[in-house]
Order: sequence, then structure tokens, then C-alpha cells
Amino acid sequence: MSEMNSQQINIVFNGEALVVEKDITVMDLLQLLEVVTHRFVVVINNQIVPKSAYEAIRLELGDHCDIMSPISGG
Amino acid sequence: MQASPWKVYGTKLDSRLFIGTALYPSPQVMLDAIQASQSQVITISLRRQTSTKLASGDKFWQLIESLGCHLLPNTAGCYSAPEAIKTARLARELFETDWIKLEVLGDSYNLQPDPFALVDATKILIKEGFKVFPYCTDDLVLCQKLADLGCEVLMPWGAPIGTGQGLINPYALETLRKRLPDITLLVDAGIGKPSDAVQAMELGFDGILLNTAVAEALDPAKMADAFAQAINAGRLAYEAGIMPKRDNAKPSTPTLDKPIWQQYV
Repeated sequence: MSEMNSQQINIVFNGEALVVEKDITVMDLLQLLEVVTHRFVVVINNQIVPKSAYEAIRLELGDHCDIMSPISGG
Repeated sequence: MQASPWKVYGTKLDSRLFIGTALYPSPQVMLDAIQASQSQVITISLRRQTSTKLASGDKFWQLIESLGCHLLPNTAGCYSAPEAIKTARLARELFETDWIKLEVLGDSYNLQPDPFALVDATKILIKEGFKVFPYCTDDLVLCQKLADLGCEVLMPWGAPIGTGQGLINPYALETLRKRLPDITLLVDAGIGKPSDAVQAMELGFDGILLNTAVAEALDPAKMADAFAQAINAGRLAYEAGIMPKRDNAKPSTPTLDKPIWQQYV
């Protein structure tokens, strides 16, 4: 595991620890994880993030970020 | 002959079968079965994904979109009103629909709905503009309360989810039909074979929601076709007016002027 530098922060992404650049936006994170083309909803700390806010919202230390996607259901 | 079209929360539908998208042996089998069912409404769900699973979620979504059906997202697996409400809000954002199949379970053994939490969640979701399709028991008082809260559709169980036991309590379901004549009623869960669906439709239910009975058949597409025909037949029979049962036999052939009258002279 590479060591963190002062320009990085820890977040929790889909339940797992993830190190990302400080001030990373939701849009940056989605591009980093290559999920921009998928149908999904972003939830940060239990709050739904509107698509219009992806470029404005920056992740902070300890944020819990989850991505919800469609699955089959009965 | 096709049974008459109907409306669900203002949406006109021809098919009276809602079908689930789970448990099929492969995505292609699911597609074939849903197409064979002629369903216009399919149930779907949502989950937190890992980054590696996002691609598979996207493929599933593309298949669903290709069907062109109305989507009925569910809150499956929720055991409290807050969980179900949160899931419903996420589903609305994800699937861009106000429709929600509201499941709030109270028992993990038989997956029985929790009537109290169901009412609590329904109150809030209806205030937020959701079109709630509650998965409920066949309890008349519960169903009346859900209707009073503004549910135009109720979905009582026929039997516990996935059991295929058919209509365990037809009396209760028939009572719901009689006492809630203006509510759209679907049997959701417990249907095992097409004759179970016919029975519900002949009781006057407006539709059927099922998944396992088709997905776990040896030939899901053929079973989906069988259900489509059965549900249509049951509805046609209800619309045609079923004769009342009698205790005494009544000959169907006229008894006057029989050719053998002379032997009685």
C-alpha cells in the first residue's frame, strides 16, 4: 500500500477505504473510477447527490460515498 | 379475445401481469420470458455496487431498457420504515419514476410484511408524491388503512414470497375484493402455477405480480406464456360473470317432450 501524502485524504467508497486527492469533486471521483457512463445514484453521508452538483461538491476526509445501481428484483 | 384494458395510477395497461426480473438462469432467458409474458410492468431493485460490479449493473440496465416496460422499483429487504423510505427515495432518483413497490418485512422466516411499519412508510411516501404499491398481507383492516392513506393499488400476498403455494386464504382475498371495490388489487407473491393466477383473477383481482413461478420453471418463456393466457382467461371469466354455485343438480338439457315419454304413460 502506498503512503498517503498531505495532498490526499481517506474516504469510504462503497464500504471500502479509498485514498483520493484532496478537494476531489464527485465528478472527478466518478471519472477516476470510470463510472460516468453508467446509470447510478451517488449518495454521500446518506444524502442523495443531484447530478447537477457533481462538479461542485468536493469530498472531505472521512466522507462515506456510495454508488447505487440497478439490479434485478421481484 | 383479450380482457379489457385497465389503469394503474392513471397509466393504461393491456397486460394484467407484472413480472419480476430476478432468479432467471441467464439474462437472455429473462428477456425471452418477459417478452413471452407480454408484461408491460417489470419489477426491479437497487443495491450499493462495488466498482468492479458497476459494469455488470450497466449491462443489466441496458437489457431492461431494451424491453421498454414501465418500471416498478421495490424496497425489497427493508425491515423498517426508515430503511424503506430511504430506498424509495433512491429508487425514484435512479429510475426516474414515482412508482414504488413498498416492501417492509416484519419476519425473516416467512418474509411477512410488517403492517405497522408499512403504514408508517406509506404515510410519508404518499406525502412526498410517491405512487405506492404496498406489498401487504390480506388483512382487511390493514388494507382499508392503506387505501385511506391514498393507495390506489394494493398488493396482498397469496402466500409467502417464493413458496409457490397459491392462494392460502381465498376467503380473505375475496373479502378484500368485495369490501374495496374501487381499489386496484393485485396478488403479489405465492403464485406457483397458472391455475393459482386464474383463481385470483376469477375472484375479481385486477392483476398478478409474480417472479419465481416463471423464473424457476424448466422453460421460463413457455411458463410466462402460460401465465399470460391464464391471467387473461381468468379476467375474461370474471368480466363474463361466473354462474353461482348450487347445492342441487339442475339438468342442462330440456326435460319436456322427451322421445321416451311413452314408457311413462
